[in-house]
Amino acid sequence: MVPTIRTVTLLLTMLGAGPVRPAATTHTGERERAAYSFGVVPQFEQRKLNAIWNPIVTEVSRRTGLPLELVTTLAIDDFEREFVGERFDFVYMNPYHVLKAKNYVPLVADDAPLRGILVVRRDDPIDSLASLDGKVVAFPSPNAVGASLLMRADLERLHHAKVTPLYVKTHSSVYLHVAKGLVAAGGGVEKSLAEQPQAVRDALRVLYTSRGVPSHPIAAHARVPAADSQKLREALLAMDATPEGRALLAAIPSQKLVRDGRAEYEPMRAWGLEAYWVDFWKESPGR
Amino acid sequence: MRLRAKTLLPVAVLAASCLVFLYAYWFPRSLLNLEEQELRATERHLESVAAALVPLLLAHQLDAVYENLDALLAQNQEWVAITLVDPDGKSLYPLREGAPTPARRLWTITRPVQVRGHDLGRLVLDIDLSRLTAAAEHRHRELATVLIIVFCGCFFGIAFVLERVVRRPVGILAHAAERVAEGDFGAPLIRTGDDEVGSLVASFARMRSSILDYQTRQRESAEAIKRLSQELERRVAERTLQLEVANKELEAFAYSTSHDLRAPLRHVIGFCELLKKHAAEPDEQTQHYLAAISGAALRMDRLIEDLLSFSRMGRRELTGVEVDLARVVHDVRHELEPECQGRVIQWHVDGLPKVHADSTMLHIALVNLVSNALKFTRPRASAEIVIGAERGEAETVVFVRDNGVGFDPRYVHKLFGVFQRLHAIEEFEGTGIGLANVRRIIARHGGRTWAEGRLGEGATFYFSLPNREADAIGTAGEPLQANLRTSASR
Repeated sequence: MVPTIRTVTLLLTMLGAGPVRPAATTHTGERERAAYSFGVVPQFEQRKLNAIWNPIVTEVSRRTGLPLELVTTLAIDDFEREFVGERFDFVYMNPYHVLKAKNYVPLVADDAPLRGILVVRRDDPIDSLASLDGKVVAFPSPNAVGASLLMRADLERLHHAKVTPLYVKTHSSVYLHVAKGLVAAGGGVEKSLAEQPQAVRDALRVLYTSRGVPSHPIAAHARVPAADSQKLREALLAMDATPEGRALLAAIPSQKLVRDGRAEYEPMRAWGLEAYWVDFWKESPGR
Repeated sequence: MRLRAKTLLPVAVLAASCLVFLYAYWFPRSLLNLEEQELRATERHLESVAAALVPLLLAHQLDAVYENLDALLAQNQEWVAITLVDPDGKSLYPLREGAPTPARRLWTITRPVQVRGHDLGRLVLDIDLSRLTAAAEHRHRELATVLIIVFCGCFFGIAFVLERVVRRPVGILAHAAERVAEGDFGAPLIRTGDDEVGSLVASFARMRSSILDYQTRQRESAEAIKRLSQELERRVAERTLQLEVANKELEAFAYSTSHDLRAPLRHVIGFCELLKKHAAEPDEQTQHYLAAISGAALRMDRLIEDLLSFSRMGRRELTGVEVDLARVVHDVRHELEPECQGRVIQWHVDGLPKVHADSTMLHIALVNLVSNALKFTRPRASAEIVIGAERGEAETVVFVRDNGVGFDPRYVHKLFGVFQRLHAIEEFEGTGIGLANVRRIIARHGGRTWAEGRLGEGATFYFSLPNREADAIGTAGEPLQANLRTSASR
């Protein structure tokens, strides 16, 4: 029962701060230098994130013939640092990121809208958002649209509840904080809650659901040739049309991929969420 | 203890000792060491986990904490439960407290989660080593089984080899040796090869063959000796018979001749007497001649008489009885009393036993010996005659010693010959037949005769008689004639 190599690797990975770059993947499975980087916003813990996206990127690479390299980060802070630096060629990103990054063009997105939710412990008697005033509420990160930006805006503006935010990196971490009673409530989205283990879901109760926002897109950087971007879009849509591909994409989570465009996200500019946006990588570049 | 038991007992004792050592010491200690090593390794592992949790707890990444601790629990089957609590004791992991662990042996390891002295929580691990120890115990049982199989293999292998190579050949060898002791040289042997036992069997076979050859040669030699002995006995008997016949013929001739010579000799003596009476005034010369003729004839007559007496000694049949030697000596002295008249004689007669002999012949022998002693002590002013005896295991030795003129020992071998004389007839009368008679009488009793002496220093004459117990010469009244031939043949 000595520590296995796998365990040590896991722990070292947990300690690392930079993006994790698995082997670049092609349809032949060979590593190539000219691979496109494919970044993914860390909605889940690293292992789960890789378990979801590695098969998808591999399949897309096989279908398109493009060499793709999956790039994940431990936390959303790291992801946004990389994202702002435009280091990803393709990226699965936060809907609000579309408004913040002008060089990324959405290719596809889930047809179902993204709805933010506020969860409390199932046995917590709290029944209104107003009663959360002065309490500590967990959020994945400051700039998560549905789980954080929109929820903090609604709490403060619609329900006049001023909460102390606790950013816990991921949606799963939010739900666990609430389930263990470490915070009074937590912000998430319906899709990520649905992905939680039954035990976690059984321990939680949705107290509030926000309005819908366009779902997370898969976007391409402007430097990627349009033909390659088009190949990738078509491949994703083709995957979504097959049971095997659909099964892979459902884990994102995604109900149905559709063509996407920047216009879908423009309405969010009017929601006043910019006041809640935090350029934390600028505030603490060392993080 | 048999050879097989002697050889196999150490193997059995060694096997039992090994198993006892394994089960009583090595296995328990091995399990203990295994548990200690596992606990130490787990402690180090848990320290690493605690260190790795620090950034996650600082970043509130509870999902990462869960993923990692869940993965650790899944990967480490001995880990029963992990509990992570914050500094206030509030549970962070697991999501729900598990049901109480069934009663089993658990170790609990606790490690703090700290960063630069700041307490972030406490990691508690419940570990169950029963599966690990069960696997080790299974390996121990396998080891013990292998050892038992190896020892059994060794045991039966040694037993088999011992039986085939040592015990069976040696047993057959021992059986063959017993048969050899009983005289059977044909018992089969087993050749086992070029080892020590094989060498022993081969040596035994050679030895047995040598003994057989030796016995064969010995038997053949014994048979040859027996044949030669029988031939020799046959020849001796034949020659003895011839000698006896010749001796008897010679004795008969001598007796006849002596007897026949006496008649003309008496005529010579008679006519000499007639000539002395009827011759008218024979001159002195004639008288001298007549006296010489008459004296020579008389001496010749005594010689013939003694010769006849000697001849009778050899032909007379002996009758063995218990004889009181003292009584015989007394009779002899009485018989020779006239010869002692006017002489000073000191007699020393003592310790005479009873012997088994012919009393008449013994009397004659002693008369001759005592008469000689009286005769040859005549020059002594005071004669001293000692008659005694010594009884030994096989025979009784009787002696007659005197202080007479003795004899020259160089001629002792002539003493007992017929008509042998060592002194001039002018000094001591006699025909020289007495000691010959003594030797013949004693020889016929199966005894011996001999003498010791020096000139002028006296002489001692010995004779021996076989004791009845040692050499049965016959019961009372039993003829002794047969013993003469036996003694003579010796």
